[in-house]
Amino acid sequence: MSSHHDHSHPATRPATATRPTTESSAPSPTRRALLKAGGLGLFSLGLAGSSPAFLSRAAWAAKSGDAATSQRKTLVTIFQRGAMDGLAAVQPLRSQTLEGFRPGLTLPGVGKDGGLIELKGTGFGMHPALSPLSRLFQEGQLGVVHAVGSPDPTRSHFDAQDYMETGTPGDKGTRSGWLNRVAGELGHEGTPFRSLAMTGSLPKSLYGPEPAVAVSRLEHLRVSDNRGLPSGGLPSSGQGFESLYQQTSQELLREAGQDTFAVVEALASVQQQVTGELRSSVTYPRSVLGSALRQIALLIKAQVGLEVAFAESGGWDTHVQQGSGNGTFANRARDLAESISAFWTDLGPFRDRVALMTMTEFGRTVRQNGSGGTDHGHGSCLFVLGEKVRGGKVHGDFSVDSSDLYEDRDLAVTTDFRSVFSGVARDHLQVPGKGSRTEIFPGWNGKPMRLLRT
Amino acid sequence: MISVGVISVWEMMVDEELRELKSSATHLVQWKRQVGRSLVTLVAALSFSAMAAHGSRVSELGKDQGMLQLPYALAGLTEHQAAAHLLDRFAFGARPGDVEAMVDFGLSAWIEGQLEQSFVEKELPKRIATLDALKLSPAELEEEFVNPADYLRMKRREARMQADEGGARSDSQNPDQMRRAALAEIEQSGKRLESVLIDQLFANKMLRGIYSENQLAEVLADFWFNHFNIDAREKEARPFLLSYERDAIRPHVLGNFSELLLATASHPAMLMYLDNARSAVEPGRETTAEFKMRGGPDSLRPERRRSRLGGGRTASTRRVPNLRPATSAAGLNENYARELMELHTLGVDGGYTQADVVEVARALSGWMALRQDGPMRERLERRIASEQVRHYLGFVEREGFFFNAAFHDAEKKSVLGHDLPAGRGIEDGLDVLELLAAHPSTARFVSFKLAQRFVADEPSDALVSQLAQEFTSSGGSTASVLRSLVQSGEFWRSRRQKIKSPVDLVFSSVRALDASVRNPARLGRWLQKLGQPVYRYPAPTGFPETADHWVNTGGLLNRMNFGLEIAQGTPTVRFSLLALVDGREPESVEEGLRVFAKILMPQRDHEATIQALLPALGNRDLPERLGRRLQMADQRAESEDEQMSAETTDSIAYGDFEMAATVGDDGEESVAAMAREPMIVAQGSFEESASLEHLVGLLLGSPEFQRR
Repeated sequence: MSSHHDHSHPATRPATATRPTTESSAPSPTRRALLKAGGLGLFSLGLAGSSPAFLSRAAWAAKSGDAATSQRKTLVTIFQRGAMDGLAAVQPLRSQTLEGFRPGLTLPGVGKDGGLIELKGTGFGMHPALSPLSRLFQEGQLGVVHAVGSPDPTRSHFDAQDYMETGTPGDKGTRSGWLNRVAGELGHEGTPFRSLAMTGSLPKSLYGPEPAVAVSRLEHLRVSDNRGLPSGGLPSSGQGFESLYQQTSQELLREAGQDTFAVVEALASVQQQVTGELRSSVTYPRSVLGSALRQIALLIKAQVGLEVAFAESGGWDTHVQQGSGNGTFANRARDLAESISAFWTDLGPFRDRVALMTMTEFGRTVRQNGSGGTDHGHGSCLFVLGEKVRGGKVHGDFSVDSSDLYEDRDLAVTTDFRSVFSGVARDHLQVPGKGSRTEIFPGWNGKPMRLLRT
Repeated sequence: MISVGVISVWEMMVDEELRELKSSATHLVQWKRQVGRSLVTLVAALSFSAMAAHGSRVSELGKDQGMLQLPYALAGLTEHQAAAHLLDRFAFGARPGDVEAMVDFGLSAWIEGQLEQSFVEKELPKRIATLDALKLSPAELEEEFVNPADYLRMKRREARMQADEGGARSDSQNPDQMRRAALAEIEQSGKRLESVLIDQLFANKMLRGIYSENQLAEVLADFWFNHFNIDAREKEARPFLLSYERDAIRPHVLGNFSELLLATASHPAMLMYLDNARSAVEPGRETTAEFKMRGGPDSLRPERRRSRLGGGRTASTRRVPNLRPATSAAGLNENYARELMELHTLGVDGGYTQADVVEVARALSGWMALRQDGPMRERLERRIASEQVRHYLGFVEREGFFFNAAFHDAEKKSVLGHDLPAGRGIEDGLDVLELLAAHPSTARFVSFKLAQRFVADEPSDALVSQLAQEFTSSGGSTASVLRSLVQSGEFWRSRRQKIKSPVDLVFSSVRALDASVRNPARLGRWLQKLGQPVYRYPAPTGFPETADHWVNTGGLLNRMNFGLEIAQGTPTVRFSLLALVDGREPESVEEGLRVFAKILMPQRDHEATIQALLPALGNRDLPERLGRRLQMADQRAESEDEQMSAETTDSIAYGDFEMAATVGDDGEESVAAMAREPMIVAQGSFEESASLEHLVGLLLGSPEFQRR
């Protein structure tokens, strides 16, 4: 009876193209291209020959191995598309109110077979399918923020996802994503793998002026018959394409083309490690999320300078037969928890450089609907994982008392998602500068939440 | 517009049941038109000659029909460039010779012919002749195709029941054995796997998109399906998907929006996909059936009939026999109501509130699907045996659509400021759909999307307003909106400014090469890798239209690799480069680039592309033996024909639904399937890399070819 919908991509709707697609008669250098060129003094736009670009790429590749790059911290984000029911994930223990609202979704109590897992000292319990996360919680590495969400009241998946990814609730005019702005504030030029989404297309979170890679599988990052570098002296498809994409007057194609060849080169330089010694022995779930996190772990271990990574998990739109201990929600939750847990194990000694944060566009109705599911709501919860995270706690103000519900139907939002995102970015990635908060979340002057020990 | 005379004919085609509903005449007419239309469609689908009979008018009209004002010259385009632009936007790209043919025919006449879908099909009928599922009625489709996972579940249940009854457990097979046994049984019973249905749906889309002469209808079939998107992995919608595209989408692609909207809203595929089939009256509210019971003439009350039969019942127990949803199933599901306004009609900023979502869900409560052999039908027929009584109580049944009067909230509602009076049934939903279709926000939203598809990622407000006005004044006619669009300056000034979607890219490549597609599954694999797995977009939004979604690292590499790969030719996607140049092979790299750039990208400026490629490739003579090699390649392809049968049965991208269904039903992409994706590995010497195939691959992967 599963009838969830993934909502895995931003909506097709009034375009908010982030990169200008206007055409000019001659290719004009962009800020990014100039920065690259300035640093190396070699990049020459519009020149048909290919060697300068190859040289600059070689320089990039060399840079990705240096000490500063290899020590970089990484923030891994997981977007749970479709709106996770935060109340099914983490709920107050023994809440008569909640049981009254959703009799068909109630789980057995703590200690019972398939029952809630108590999060000690918090008054909350975690869904049994999330048990790998509950272990990390008890170890103090994982924290929960509850009743988190957007101040904007929309219940549209697509608007809410866009608002969360651009970081500007209620404003559709924002042309860049919050993670792209984070990468911009960090200001580390020169490594093509700084920002990465393990998705088929670039998520809105990474739209913007900083280069970002979107790919569903690392194996796809090569030109079919590319025979490598000009040292061999023979022309190759890679070279042919590279000069084609350098000269095109279509800016979007030109920029994406440049990023593409830089990334191909960078990956080629760590190819041996990636397929050899760094190959993971940890078993991940065979799912989109599992596969994405496995590849992100690989790049972190290969020390290519990854700073922000994005993965997604679909199927959270549980309108129908959401289930309690088993069912649609439980299956999604299990995949989420097992993928994260495998990732964390896989990282091994690299864990001290990594923080992971989940997010979802909104929560779901406190009451169950007519089909054993829940409809679009407001507040939900999210998870933050890291060695420095103030774990073992459920942060935020939470109430499902009838009088506290938002519009008499949803969990009210008491924590703005921006205070979580900005707090994690500040304390984990050390986003510099006094004004950084407003740079990342323009128009917002709330307070970043302190979720990491510093 | 449909004349009154025609309507009355359709009225006669519709049986009496709707007359029972006393309501405003307009939506009844609408509804009947819809029903009549779907009957007509079905008949048309049964015979492909219908299309040929319908059209041949264009050839009579001939050149310079001259009704349309096409301001391409003002945009600085020649007639040939204008024709090439039209082929990029109103078709899936130009085949060799198409530009010249259109200029001969006349641009206006060509557009009118496309708007009327009146071109006689040449290649298409024989290409899709083997797709037999297209000829089956919705009921036959339901009968013929089986979901193996469902079948298996049924078998397991039977086995369990046998075991419970103490029957022999001798046949306790392991799951794999059971699965194989089930597949064998399905085959023996003469039924076919549901995956075949989807494979045929997919093949039909590919072959029509490539070979249909009525290209605009194909572009729009893609557009409207995407607008009313359904994910084929949603297993309850899947059995109805072929019928959904054929019967609900295709008949209306150039027609009236409100008919299209009603056709999608009442199709089982949509009712299942967006959960309206599970939305029922909230407990405590009166249903249509109950309301009718309260007020209707005694003669039709089921209790009367019953009391005559069973005796002893008094008037005080006059209630509809227990037809209300079970307590656990009672209540609204807002999913469809919300997406109907957000995605199908008004747009997210179209001016509706959460309260409107609830009211629309109430108005549409009881709109359900009725399977041929489902428990719902059985229950209904058992509890209210008389068809006449069912009609009286407000139940409506039509080709898989079912209005369940016992699930419909009959109390008063208010949608977008319009009151819907109490005591009605299906009219509530019909009213709402009509209200939404005629709403100014809908005109704007739909016009914006059409402009985005046909003109630019960010069309001007002026153009969108102009189209919205046309949409409204034409009563929602897509053909009228496109007529207005093609006469705008903005359309002609937007040449080369759109980036092809993967579907555009794959179709236009096959068309540019004049290739013969023997097995569309190969195209499916390419589309999946390029990021547009057709029929498998996971959200009701459908695939995005704008370039920023398609152009990114990874995405571009896949396009380049696709160019190189398709240019090699495969046994199932075949073409002859030599035939494209009439056997005259180019003698140098430069000549090769010039000749093929002209064929593949007619009426474009190729200089930048050639000048960028020449230094990398070196302008040298193509090896003498090239011609021989190409001939050999042609022969090789012939001999590979036998291998084709192997590849024909292989439908990785679109045939693995049953696998997905048995593996876990969680809709996850099959990682294993992607890993099987072959990569072309470096092979051969430089001479081969500079071969024509290589040049063609570079051109197809070039930035210029990505534009339309």
